[in-house]
Amino acid sequence: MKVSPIRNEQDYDNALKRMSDLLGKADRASKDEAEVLQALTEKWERANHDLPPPSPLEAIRFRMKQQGLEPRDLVPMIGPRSRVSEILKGRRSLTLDMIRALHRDLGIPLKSLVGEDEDASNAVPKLSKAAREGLAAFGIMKEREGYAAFRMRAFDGGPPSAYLRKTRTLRTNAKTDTGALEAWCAAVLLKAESIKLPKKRSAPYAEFGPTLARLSAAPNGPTLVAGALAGVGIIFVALRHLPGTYLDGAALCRSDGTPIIALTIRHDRIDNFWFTLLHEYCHACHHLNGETNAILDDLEVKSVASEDDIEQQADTFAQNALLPQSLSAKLVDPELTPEDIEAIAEQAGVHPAIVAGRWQREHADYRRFSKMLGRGEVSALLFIENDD
Amino acid sequence: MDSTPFRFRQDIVTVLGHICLSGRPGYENLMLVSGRIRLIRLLRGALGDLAADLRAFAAELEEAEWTSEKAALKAYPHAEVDAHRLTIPFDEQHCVVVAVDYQSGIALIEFAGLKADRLRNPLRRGARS
Repeated sequence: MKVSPIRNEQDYDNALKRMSDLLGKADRASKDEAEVLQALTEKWERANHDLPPPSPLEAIRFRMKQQGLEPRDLVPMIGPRSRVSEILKGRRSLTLDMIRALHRDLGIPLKSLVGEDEDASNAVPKLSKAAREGLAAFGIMKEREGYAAFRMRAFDGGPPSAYLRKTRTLRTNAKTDTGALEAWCAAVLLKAESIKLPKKRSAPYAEFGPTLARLSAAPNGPTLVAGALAGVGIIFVALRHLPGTYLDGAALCRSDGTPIIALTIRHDRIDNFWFTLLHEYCHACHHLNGETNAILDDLEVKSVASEDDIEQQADTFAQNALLPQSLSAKLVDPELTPEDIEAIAEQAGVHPAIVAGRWQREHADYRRFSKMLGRGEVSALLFIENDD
Repeated sequence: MDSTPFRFRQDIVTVLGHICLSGRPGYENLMLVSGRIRLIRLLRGALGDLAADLRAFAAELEEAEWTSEKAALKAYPHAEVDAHRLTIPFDEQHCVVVAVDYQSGIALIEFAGLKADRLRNPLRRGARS
């Protein structure tokens, strides 16, 4: 008889099956093996499959249901009928005496009656009205599904903190609404769950960056991105940002580890779309791993080299993929004409908006060439398709 | 760390068992629970009352002190008993099946889902050889 450590879900499932076979057997060896397997499986579960606790009200209602109790049966523990009614409607909190009585008489765990300690990372954040409306507009929430249930579904049944603690959010705005940010991540993860990748595909590789950039030259370039990324094993999701998130894009891992690139099209310009895409592509190739499963970016926030070199690396990767250094050197000329911009773009094989946008940044002049940036064109292509 | 699986031996079992169990306060009485993943899988698609019931049940099971079938039935009077298995109804459609070894104090959640699914799958009914 072999007993092995549990290192993955397969080991865990096998251990549970073995336990099923052993429980009910009366011999000592079976009981001992079951005890060891129990210890191993419980350790794995606590590390990997955290179950959120019930609220005090949920705990009381469940016990009432199991014992076939009516509200009047709670009178000895809670007090008059009116008070029982208030408690069951969530209008009044339990007192210490009520908690003691409910635990003693009904056996409801004290932990459930006291409720979870205010661990902000696991508490369901209150979404702003605007964020709630934005989330509903995505059409990802089920009918009559509350935000808490939606959030739980997105984060694999466990507390979002287990997922989000591996998130890098250094490059986010100080005013960011973290509740809305979490809701947006949840929506991306759920949307990604329904996307299937082709069986024949490669792993993401850096050299694919310039190929991806050249898709921008096509009039419908943004609509070609999902297919191109699927070929290198990446899921592409375009999802509008939620109010308060100040987010351009993100690189995340789906529950099965598949990389996701999600863009918000917040600035809705062709140059911004392709730069953010290539920036996140660099993260997906180089920076997502067991330690970091989500990188969220507001690209208006300047990265600081000393503490944030992966952001600098991704910026440089995107710049070079979109425009080789030999061509970007031509942008130092302050007197370039629209025809010059188009010629450089043609040489690079990319959309002129990318060259125009780079020139604007180099010269801090955001008026010139502004009509070449393709404002509104990306969302028109991506979100109208999505809406259909 | 040596990743070679070790051979099952009585002394290792005893030592490992004590190390693992002694971390739980009052461990002599509380049930040792495994199989939470089955509740979590059901929880993923669950809404409203069912989701709340699953969370409440998991919390209760953690605190259960079942030394006999009678004690388990006292907590869940509507449960059905089939040998060492308890089938606890949650609502008209859903149930949870827990295999229990009262002597060792182990509770294994074997199934959580639709009653109809459980009836369709003979393995899940405990018809093991």
